Amino acid sequence: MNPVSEIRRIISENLRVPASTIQPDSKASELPNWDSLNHLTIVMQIEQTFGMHFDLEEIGELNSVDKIVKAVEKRQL
Amino acid sequence: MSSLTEPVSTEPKQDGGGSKASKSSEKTLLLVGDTLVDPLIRLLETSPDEPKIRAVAAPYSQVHQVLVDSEHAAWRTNPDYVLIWTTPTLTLPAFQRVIQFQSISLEIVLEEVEQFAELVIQCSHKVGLVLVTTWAIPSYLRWIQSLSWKHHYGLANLLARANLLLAEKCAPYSNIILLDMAYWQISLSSPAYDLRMYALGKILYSYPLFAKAAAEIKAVIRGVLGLGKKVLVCDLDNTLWGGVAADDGVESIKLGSPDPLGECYRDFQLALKSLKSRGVLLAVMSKNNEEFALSVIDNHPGMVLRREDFVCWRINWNNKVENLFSMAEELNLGLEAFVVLDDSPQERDQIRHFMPQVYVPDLPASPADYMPFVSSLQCFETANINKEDLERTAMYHADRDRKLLQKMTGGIEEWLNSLGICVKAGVLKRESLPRAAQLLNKTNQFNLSVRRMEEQALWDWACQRGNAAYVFQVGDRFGDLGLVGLVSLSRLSPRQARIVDFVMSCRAMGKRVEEALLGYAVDKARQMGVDSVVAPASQTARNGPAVEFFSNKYSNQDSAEIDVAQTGIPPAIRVEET
Repeated sequence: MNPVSEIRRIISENLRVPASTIQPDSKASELPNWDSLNHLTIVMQIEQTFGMHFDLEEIGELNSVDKIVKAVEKRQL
Repeated sequence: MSSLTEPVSTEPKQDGGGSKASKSSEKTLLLVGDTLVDPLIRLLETSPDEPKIRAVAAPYSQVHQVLVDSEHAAWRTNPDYVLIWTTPTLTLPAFQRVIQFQSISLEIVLEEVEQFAELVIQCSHKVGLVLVTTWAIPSYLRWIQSLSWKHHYGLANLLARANLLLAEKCAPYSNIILLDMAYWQISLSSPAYDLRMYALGKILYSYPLFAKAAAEIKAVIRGVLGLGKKVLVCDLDNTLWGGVAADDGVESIKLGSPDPLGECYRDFQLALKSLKSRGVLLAVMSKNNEEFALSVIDNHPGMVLRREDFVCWRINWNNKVENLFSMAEELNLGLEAFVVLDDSPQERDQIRHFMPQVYVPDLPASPADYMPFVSSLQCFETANINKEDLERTAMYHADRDRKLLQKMTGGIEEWLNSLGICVKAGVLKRESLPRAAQLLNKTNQFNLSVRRMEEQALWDWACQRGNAAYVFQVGDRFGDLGLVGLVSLSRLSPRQARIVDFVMSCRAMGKRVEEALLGYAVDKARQMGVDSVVAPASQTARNGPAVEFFSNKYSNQDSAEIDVAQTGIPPAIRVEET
């Protein structure tokens, strides 16, 4: 599974925006509908999809596509 | 129940209960939680399973406000259904005090449960269906184990009583369904709670728990809408028993104790038997010699299922796609009613390819997992079990005997006369309502308008002035077919009535029972002075038999007016009023 495309899919589904609007360098603050609740549901779905758990302190920092991808890849190593 | 002799009503609406129920249409589900349950929204909406759900979350932690206040913004979404998802520690303050060892009073806990139940009941008057999660002790909470079930004050004891009282209070309301939270939790292989997400954003439950909940909620709604599967078709070798009977020898197949594998296959058969006992039809489809395979079924001491447990079988060397077609034809059911269990990936693939409507799940790798697998299938969900469900296989067997007699006797009239068909007709009553609603929602072929309605909505509609609904029980000398017909009428004007629903189970087809139902309905309409009866059809891909039957009865195809001269009770059928 390509983590980048899967992460983009999850984000676009949860924000209800086309996947094309989710770029690798997109930040949470720049994307429509990325509020605190959607942030948590995105994180939950990513954890489930990749079979991992982020630390409580880390979850708040996953505020861009790039940071999420790096956090996933770090745990996949 | 109102009758047709009462004053004129307006044109019948889709239904009378305020819900927008239609089998194919999207349902709006309002989520009301004391914690955030928003992850359910995506899970419900993106699941490919029927029916399509639009989920909307009310503001969290406003359970009381939303349920009491009909003007609350949450109701502007005009939901069909409501899900009330509460946590005992948040919704029952007394329960929180029990956990804190502050005070332990059964009476106060039960008083709070009664208040909550009252809210749920109020809600059930607003929508077609209310789903309520029951209460479970969070798995992260360890209470004093030696006291947890102590009578009157143990935590587990109090919670069990709370759930029982909730179930008791909601029991009179058929549109309230309690959902088994404890089962959802124990069925997971991962934690049901996520305290990180609760700390961050008041989402108490884990993603796997929400996924389980979404799947079960959809299954329950499918059951309510009558979308459950009806027939489970099983292969024999390496499916119902271990090994290949014809190759290995009957004495070598794995079936029954003391062989551990044999025990797994026996447990699997027990699970299938329990499905049969609640109305699912079982059938066999196997590439085998019929006589030999049936002798194994009849005589092997380890078999739980015997020949009479199967509604039909195709044991031959034909391809399984052809066999499924012929079984669907024999049982008068659509392919989407079928589930096939087969150990061969090639056979499964072929059926999936040619018959995408048929549900063909992969069997687990180990026979030890067959029993839990079949027990956890969500496709056979039903909202209730009635007499017709319990006796369904026997009714189909009787039908097979009728067809045999038809072959042996001469013409159709002679055969019909020999059956001694009796139709017991009467006004829809409360006790027959669950079966009538089941017929309305499950019947695809002989269904004039394919109007889908929940029980309460059907009852409310039938009670409206100018409307009437009749139910029909059919039996003959081979046995009772059960309640197989529902016809509803609505008075459109002083001189004209409309047949709104004309629904008959496929079990009753081919015996002119439909003629008797129509003759009865037209009689009822004429008894109150109506001289014109219309019966417009809503054509679907599946209701050809009903549409064709009525198109032959119309005096005018455009107005769908019935030519009453062409109606009447067939001489071979006796109709009794109940």
